[in-house]
Amino acid sequence: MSKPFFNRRIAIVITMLLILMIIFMGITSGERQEVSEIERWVGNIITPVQRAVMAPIHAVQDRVYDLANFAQLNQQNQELQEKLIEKEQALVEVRLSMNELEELRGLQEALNYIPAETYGEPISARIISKSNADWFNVFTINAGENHGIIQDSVVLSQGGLVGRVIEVGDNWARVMSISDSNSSVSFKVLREGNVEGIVQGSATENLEGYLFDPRMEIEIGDQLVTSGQGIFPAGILIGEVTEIGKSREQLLDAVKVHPAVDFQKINRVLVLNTTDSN
Amino acid sequence: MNKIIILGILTANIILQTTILNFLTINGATLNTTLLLIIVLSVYLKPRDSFLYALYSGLLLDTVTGVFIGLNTFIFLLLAYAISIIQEEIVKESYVTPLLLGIMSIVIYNVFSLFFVYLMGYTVRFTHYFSLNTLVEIGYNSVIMLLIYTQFGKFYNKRMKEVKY
Repeated sequence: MSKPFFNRRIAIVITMLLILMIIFMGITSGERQEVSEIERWVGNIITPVQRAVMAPIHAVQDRVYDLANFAQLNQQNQELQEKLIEKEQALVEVRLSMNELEELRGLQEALNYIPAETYGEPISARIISKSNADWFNVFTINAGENHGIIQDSVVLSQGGLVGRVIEVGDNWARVMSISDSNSSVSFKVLREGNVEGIVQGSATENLEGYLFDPRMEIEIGDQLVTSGQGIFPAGILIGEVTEIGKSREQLLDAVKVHPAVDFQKINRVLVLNTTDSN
Repeated sequence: MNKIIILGILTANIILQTTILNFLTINGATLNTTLLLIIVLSVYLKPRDSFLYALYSGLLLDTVTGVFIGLNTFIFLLLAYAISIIQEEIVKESYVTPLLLGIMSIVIYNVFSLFFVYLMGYTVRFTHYFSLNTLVEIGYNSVIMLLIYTQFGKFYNKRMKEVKY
């Protein structure tokens, strides 16, 4: 007698909870300026534990990395010395160009034109957890508001651009990597600065994108850097072109880009605050 | 079993899932141990308890890792409820049961996740999710499901005997 009533009551409660979850999804999806107090509170409790769990793994990773790379270090050293000589020669040429740049800066000040972005001190952080769902490439780092991180701070690693901060807690922040399907970065080709386009994350490890102007030339092996449009400052390495083809509409040149950063292996990142001085 | 112990296990599991278990990937496929635990708990425990665990785990996982809140909670609650309906018909001793439940839960989890992520306006590359990767993920999680299910089953049955005597 009481079982059907119990079942019906349970069904109603579950249905209400499911509807509530859909409402939650609707409210919390999209870009939020601030995380809720509950999320901040839970994050403040969980992230120190995650940090403690990851500490021995980070220590082992660092040791293994050092050992694995020891044999390569001598060879790298020689190569670097050769490169250094080349760069010193290049530096002389750059200095000549710098003189011209100084003149242009003077002109800029004279015209009262303020540079678009200034960058604070870079903040070093470690990755302490990752979302293991396929739908988002999001991870948590062990630095937050208390370290000066703000929403949309730019995240870099040794190799190049990693992503941007989407949520900030007191001592943690959540970063969406550029390999996420919802991230897009405008780029320019390092070899030919006027060739520009946009790349997005894809379901694979590579990024996919297209050129703004299909008449522009791009080659396999070209390195792409951020163009400075949007939140990412100009000149950060994004990756290398591995494939060129036509996009589905056959109008634009589509490119596949191998990211400079190995997202499976990174555990240390640098966070830059790009503050608008305007 | 003491509710606080189970809640502690679920919390520890979420911490492990978001940290160490990310390193145990096969061809990019990761483990969703929280989902597997919820399924196992729903098979063995009272419906009301399993709903509580589904709600707690879902909300915690959503808060810790989610881009938006509610996705994991929705799926965990739905699966816990579905299993509570068929709980009495489930042959708990069979080894096929955890494998089937593992496959079913991962497929349902992926379908609902794709649906809601798409519904919330995020970019989804559908073709990727009907690939070898998904099969690897299903297989990987099902094998782990078998392990969790059998171990929990043994523990649960032992505990039940102790309670009887």
